[in-house]
Amino acid sequence: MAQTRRDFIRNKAVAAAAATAGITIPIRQAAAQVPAGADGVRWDKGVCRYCGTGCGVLVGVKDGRIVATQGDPDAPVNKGLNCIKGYFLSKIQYTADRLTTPLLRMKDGRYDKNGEFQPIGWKQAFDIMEEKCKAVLKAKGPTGVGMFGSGQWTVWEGYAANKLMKAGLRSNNIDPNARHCMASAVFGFIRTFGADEPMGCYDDAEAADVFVLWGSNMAEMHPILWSRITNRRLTARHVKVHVLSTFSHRSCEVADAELIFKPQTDLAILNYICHHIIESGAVNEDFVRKHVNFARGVTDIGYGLRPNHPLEQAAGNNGYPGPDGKPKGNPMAASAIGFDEFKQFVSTYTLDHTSQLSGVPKDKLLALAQAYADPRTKVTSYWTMGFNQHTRGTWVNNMIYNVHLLVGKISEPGNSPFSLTGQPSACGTAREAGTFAHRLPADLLIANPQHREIAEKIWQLPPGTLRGEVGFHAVQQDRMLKDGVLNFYWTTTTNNMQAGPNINQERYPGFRDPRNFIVVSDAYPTVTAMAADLILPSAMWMEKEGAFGNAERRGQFWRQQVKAPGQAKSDLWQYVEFSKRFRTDEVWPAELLDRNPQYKGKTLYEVLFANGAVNRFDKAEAARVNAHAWANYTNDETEDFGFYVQKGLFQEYRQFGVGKGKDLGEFDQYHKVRGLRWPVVNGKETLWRYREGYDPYVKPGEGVRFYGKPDGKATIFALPYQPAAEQPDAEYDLWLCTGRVLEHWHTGTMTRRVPELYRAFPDAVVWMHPKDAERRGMKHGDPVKAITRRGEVALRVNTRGRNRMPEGLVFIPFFDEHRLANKLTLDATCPISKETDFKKCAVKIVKA
Amino acid sequence: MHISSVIVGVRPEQIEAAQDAIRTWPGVAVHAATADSRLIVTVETDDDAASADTFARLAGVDGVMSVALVYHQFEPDPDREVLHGTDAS
Repeated sequence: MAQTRRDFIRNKAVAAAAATAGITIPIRQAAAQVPAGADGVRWDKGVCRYCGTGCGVLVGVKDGRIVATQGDPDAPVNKGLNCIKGYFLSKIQYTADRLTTPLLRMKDGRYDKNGEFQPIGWKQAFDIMEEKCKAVLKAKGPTGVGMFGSGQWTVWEGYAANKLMKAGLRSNNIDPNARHCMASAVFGFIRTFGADEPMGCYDDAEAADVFVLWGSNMAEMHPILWSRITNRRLTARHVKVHVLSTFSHRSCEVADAELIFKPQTDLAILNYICHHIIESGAVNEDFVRKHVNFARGVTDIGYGLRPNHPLEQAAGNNGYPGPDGKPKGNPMAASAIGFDEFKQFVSTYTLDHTSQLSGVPKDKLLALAQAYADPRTKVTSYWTMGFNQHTRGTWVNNMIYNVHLLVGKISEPGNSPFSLTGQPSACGTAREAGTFAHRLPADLLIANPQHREIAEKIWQLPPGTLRGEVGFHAVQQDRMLKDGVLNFYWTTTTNNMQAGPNINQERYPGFRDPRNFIVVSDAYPTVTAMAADLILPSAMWMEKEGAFGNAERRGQFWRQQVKAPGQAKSDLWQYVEFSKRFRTDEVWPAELLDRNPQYKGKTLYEVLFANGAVNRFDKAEAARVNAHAWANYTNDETEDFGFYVQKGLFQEYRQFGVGKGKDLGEFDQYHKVRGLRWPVVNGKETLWRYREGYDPYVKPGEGVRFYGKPDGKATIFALPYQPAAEQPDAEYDLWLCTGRVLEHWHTGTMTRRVPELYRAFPDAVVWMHPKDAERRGMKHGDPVKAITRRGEVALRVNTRGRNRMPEGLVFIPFFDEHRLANKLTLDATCPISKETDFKKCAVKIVKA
Repeated sequence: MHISSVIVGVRPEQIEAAQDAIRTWPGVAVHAATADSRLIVTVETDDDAASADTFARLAGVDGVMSVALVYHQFEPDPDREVLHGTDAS
């Protein structure tokens, strides 16, 4: 029976959807039966490039190009579904303006900060990078160089970058863009549990009775996880969904209760819930007695602003240098207290007071508290940026755990405080491989001498190679660029000029300062690339062998499927190749080399990558490991360097976590299966951590043990409500919230990139309440200006659509280079996590 | 040409109306409705922007709770015949 390719493909599409939906459509199914590969398409497993959900995707390749994608029916995360962002997975690699050669600003044939971008070769690119980097190291030492990486790095890219910077160049100024999204969650975990990452997993979605979303628009930002929740709600009629937000968004449409609260009052609501639990006798006393300690945190911790800001000068515990040069206290400090003191502390957060402060009606607050309190109700809480991008982000993470711990609703199916991750590998790369300015792999800390010793042993470095001073975090990097302290800077897989706060006052001047040499690795000419001095073309997604770790601790691998265009190279290649340009004698202290003369005269490549561990597996190993997929597999980096570098890096890296509760599986296993959730012990993954029967680290009879803490107990912290760093006042009379919006994602961000940083903004939108617009003489569609103390942006008013603002608050999306919302935002951070609060500052909206 | 299949989750009481609405759109076909209130839909367009717009429109139909992509293929030569035919064996 002849059919056109159109019919054939349509039938395949229908058959795939029907199978995923669990039905059969016989005629379509038969028409789609063709021997595998007969249509010339080779299919292989992969992971979505986008959010932290980590959906499995089958990738179809024909004639060296990706021509099709399909939700992977064998992937436990998504079982054949993708969200609409998945539509752009393969298309994105083939847009017209992919970068294909290095580009250097030049005038008269030489590098010039004010020159135009000219194409050059890789050798010349590394020549100028080597020159500039070595000049800074010589003049200033390792604190003068820095790197800004990404939660979209593959695991081995982040791990290799970490080695290059911390062990090679001995600079701890490497921080990932995950600082902007997950740092508060990380510090929340470490403070409460002593170990990073969620204890639950996605299976909680099929077991919970109540879902609570805090500062998370899952319907748009984690759509496939959301579909698991909506399925649960449709199939189990008793299930309820509560959504808490500062404005009404698409997730609210499926909510049984929508709680719109005033910015920052999430702190008060969480304390009220604890108060209710205690007052109504719902505390799980047995659980609390066995598994929980109480502590009271210090409160005058400032707002992470520059030290000369009045708010920081007044703060006694922000850790900044005081007049005597010593740190003013420690924002993480806490003192042990008892349950009674905690009860007393939260008793001021009564229903009346909390309703008044937050603007949420009493009945809704009470219903929420009752859901948490009822011992028969399994509650899963999800949160992302509303909680994390918060000047008290660490506190609010601690405080949601307070609630779950008080009632013992944790570490079992359906009872789950679950921190959702934004990026695809903020967990697997940034957090687990430790690419933060204060970290090493597997939750180890730069400032801890024993931890540095562990890393030096695994990395085969002389003792004392790693420096113990915490490096510059994201916002600090901007400030140091601006101040001329940081002079060589390399960013990758991130568009921080657009995504970081306070563009005008800090980052843009820093990039354009002639004292600084800025290198940007990316696949496209983003605004960050355009503000740089040297651009390096980077390989994307299926153009390299990769691994991501998603929000539920699932590591997932993929093989290289296609080649990168032109001269684009993977980040991994860039770090390993660049390391050949440095010798230990040039970058390590003479005393260190004198004590360890066997390291003299070696290149960083030899020390970091050809060290017997990373180069342990030959090229043929790549074919052997992947023979089950297709014959004679290899990848570009393996060919370039002559060994299976990805396996070497991973096998060296996993030594950090084995036996420590952070065990990763064996490299080969990941290439066969649809991912594994760590800890992986004896090849078996762990779904729920800290509970006997689920977690191999909890011994029989222990029941629950939070083994990240020495005494096995988690900590409940008494922490108060405090106002935001900058609130609306007489002149700047509205709250400004920023974030992401699905609607605008496909109107230009990925497919239209603008070379110049400053440009008219004809299509911008600010969501406002209709009454706020009317009071200012505006209506839907009018052109206006949003102005803060830091900058202004021209936009149009929107009073309709899926985002409905309360009075007094406006929302501007930031993922559009035509509307640089971050010209408006304030670089205030959580003083503990150093994560920027992108959700709260003061703005005025005036007619344009 | 872009061909995609999507599963559209609709509130049970609104699924008939949703089907009727969606059927009228050019390039869009509804192939089945499942017992748990989901529609199997294909979207065929000449460019990806049009597909993306269609997905957004689907999400905006009254009663639609979720739109999930399953399969997507771009095909430069849609009217060429498939050489390997299909038959019952």
